[in-house]
Amino acid sequence: MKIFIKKLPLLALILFSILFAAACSKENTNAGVPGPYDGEKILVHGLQEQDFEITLGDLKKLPAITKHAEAERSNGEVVKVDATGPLLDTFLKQYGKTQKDFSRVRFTAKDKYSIAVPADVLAGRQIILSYLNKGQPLEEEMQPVRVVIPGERAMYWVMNMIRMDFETGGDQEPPNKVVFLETAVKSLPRHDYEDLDSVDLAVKISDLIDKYAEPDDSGVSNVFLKASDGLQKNETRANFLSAFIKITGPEAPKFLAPQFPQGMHIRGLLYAIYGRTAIFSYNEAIASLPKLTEEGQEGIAFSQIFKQTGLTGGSKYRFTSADGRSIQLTMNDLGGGGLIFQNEQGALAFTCTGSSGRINVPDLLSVEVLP
Amino acid sequence: MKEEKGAGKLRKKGWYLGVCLVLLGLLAGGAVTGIAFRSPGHIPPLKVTGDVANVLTLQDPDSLGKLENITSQGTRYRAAKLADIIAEAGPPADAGQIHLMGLDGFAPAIKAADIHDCYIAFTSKNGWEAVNPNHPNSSNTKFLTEIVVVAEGGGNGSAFNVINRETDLAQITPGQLLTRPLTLYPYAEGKAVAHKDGKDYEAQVFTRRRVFKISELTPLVEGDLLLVTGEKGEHLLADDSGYFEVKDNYINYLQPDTRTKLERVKGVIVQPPAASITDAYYDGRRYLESGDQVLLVVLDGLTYRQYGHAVANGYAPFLNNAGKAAQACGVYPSESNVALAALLTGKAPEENGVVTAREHTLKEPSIFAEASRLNKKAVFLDVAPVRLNTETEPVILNDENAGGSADDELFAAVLDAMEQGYDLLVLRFHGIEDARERYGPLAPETMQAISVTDEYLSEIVSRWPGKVIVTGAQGAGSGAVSGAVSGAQESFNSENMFVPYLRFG
Repeated sequence: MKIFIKKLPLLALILFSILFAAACSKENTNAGVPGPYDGEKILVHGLQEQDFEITLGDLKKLPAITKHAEAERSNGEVVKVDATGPLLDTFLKQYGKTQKDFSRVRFTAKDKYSIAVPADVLAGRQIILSYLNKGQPLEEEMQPVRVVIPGERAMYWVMNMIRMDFETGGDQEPPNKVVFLETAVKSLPRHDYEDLDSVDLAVKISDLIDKYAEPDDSGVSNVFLKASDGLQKNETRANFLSAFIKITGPEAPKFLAPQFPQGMHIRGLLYAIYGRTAIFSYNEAIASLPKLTEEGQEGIAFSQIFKQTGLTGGSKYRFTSADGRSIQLTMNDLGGGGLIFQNEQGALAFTCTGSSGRINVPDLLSVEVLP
Repeated sequence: MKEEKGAGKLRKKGWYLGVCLVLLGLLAGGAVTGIAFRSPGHIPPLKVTGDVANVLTLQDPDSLGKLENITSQGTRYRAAKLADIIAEAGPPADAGQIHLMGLDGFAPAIKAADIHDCYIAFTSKNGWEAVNPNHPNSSNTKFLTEIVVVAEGGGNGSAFNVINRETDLAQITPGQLLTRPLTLYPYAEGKAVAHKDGKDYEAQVFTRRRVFKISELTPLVEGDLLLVTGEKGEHLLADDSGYFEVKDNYINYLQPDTRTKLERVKGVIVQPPAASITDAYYDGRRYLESGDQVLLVVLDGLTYRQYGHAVANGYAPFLNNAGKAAQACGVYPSESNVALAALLTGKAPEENGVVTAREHTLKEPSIFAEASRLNKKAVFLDVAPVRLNTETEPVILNDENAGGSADDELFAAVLDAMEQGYDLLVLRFHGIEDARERYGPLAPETMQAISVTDEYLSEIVSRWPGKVIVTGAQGAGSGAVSGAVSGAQESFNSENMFVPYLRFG
């Protein structure tokens, strides 16, 4: 007891010092400082052809930001953090992508909780892959990463995140049909369209879609458009259907409408994806994509269509000509892949050499993926 | 002596012991205090919204500020003055009503001028409670959830505006909207999935948003297009299928089908003209690509209404003979450099990085970058007081002769520059804006300034061998001085949002 009393002042001072130090500890920015969870892996799906893993240590090597964020819970409680970590956009930049390139990103936690961050959030918010809060490492149950999206509700703030799935195309499935614009417009009404001080020819997109897209398009809400200069844009279904594609004159093929300001026009349209149908311009492709030459014939590789539009799946393909005749080809029939080209008459054609020998499809209108 | 030493030792020990006990006492006291004064369970949030600068969320009665002991109808309260709370939220100068909204929808309104004896208290029986000793008992809302401040007029520029090409159709503030009938729309946030024992358990999450449609504010014709514009100049073209959400003290646009969202909407143009001030970039680029020389003339401060007045009254004979100008959408906020940045880049303010007078650097390539890409020779001659950094260093002209405007110096410089074989010549005149700010948009002095500029244009264009683009650019507005977005808020109206746009040559 006597010894305890003797040591009491010392103990009290130590205790007080510890508590004082804890109370007064300053935030420190430990961005990038190694920690015990640096080896924790995060699976990345949909960003490259193959899934791959990154570690928290990899994320720590990226430039980090610190941002205060608050999110309201349903009981009115406000979650407050000072999140430090790289932006998702910073991570994506390494792969030549941005958040806006995706229609959804799903974050999954170790306990299999997951939530898909929709396109509107991806387009308008910063997403922090945080590994520090208020300058301190995350609590164990939040390791290795807590997703923080300032301005969005806490339901999106997935902690303990171990998987990121990058998705394109929204809820829609990838296209399973490609319609070639140059052949398609031959059977559509053409309209004079005054643009850029000249009168050119244009087709109504509603005519194009009525004739060539899936009849049930009720699920289509957004249309993805890409130009040969790399411009990518989503347009609402209503705006898309009210517009035209100019098929002659300067900057054709050009997405435009009299009621749209020029900033909404898209010159050099490479393709548009409406539901599961892609409208593809061969002329724009041959002018901007790598060319392929087979037996003296210059065109674009059939694989480019897949690469550009995201056409996927299937073991058979139906090639249809403008006159309605079609042929089904297997992968073996396609052999090396095939070539799409413009023949001497100016019509599109397809040729390939595979297990069934040489196959030619004249006046190529569309290609469909079959199950 | 020995006894003194012993006594000293004892005193020293006693001192240590004393210090130690005080420290332990402090710690123990702190702990006891923490337990004793712990928050009494869940306290629901009380929000102060509407026409306020700062939305407040109150969840701690002790954070209300100075609490007073008051008695009302025989009950004693520890309460804060409503006036202090409202003052902290930053009410507008024209605050008219305070709506005290209860959990059950009960929502009395009291005059903002009469709240000096009004209080807010938190009681375990009634939650947040309005205590208004001098007001009728029906003003004492129990289970108060929201205090909405409602402006009588434009609410210090926080108003949401609906206009068309000719007129202002509606102006209403967030506070005024919150006191109107609104639809509670379940907006789908997303689907969360938890995987347990081999099974997925899903939760589709919705948030209930207080929304309205434009057609509830002004009649629309089926198929009418709406140009929805945010306070940073971002915009989108929509129809009436989307909703406008009243969120605390601002308005958002939501299109649930496409999940399109635009936050902090400033206003809507019904059936907007297709022409836009940003067309200058696209037309200029196309002309350059076609090998034409391009003269792009920017007339600061010239709106479409002024142009119409000037042409109709003989102040602009050259412009009148050049062909009818298109009525083009300008950009928001109304500020000279914001408009210039938009027309030089073809992009909205938020995209091009120049949203206020504070920003001077473009985030997007301008027409000068296009000229450079095409190996074209370009120059930018400018007289405006606030500079914009472009890929081509502007040549700044000053009022050397102290004539009150540098436009005459600009005119002389242009004539020189035209001898030097430029492919792209961009000019910004500022005299009209100076006159407009000083005398008003349709004042004779402003018309005279338009007349002088018209004469300069006549001479310049007669010597120019290529294409010509002339556009008005909205003037500085009140935001130029402060550089704040809010400063220009009143400029979202049919007078300011449209400019003349001409192409010829």
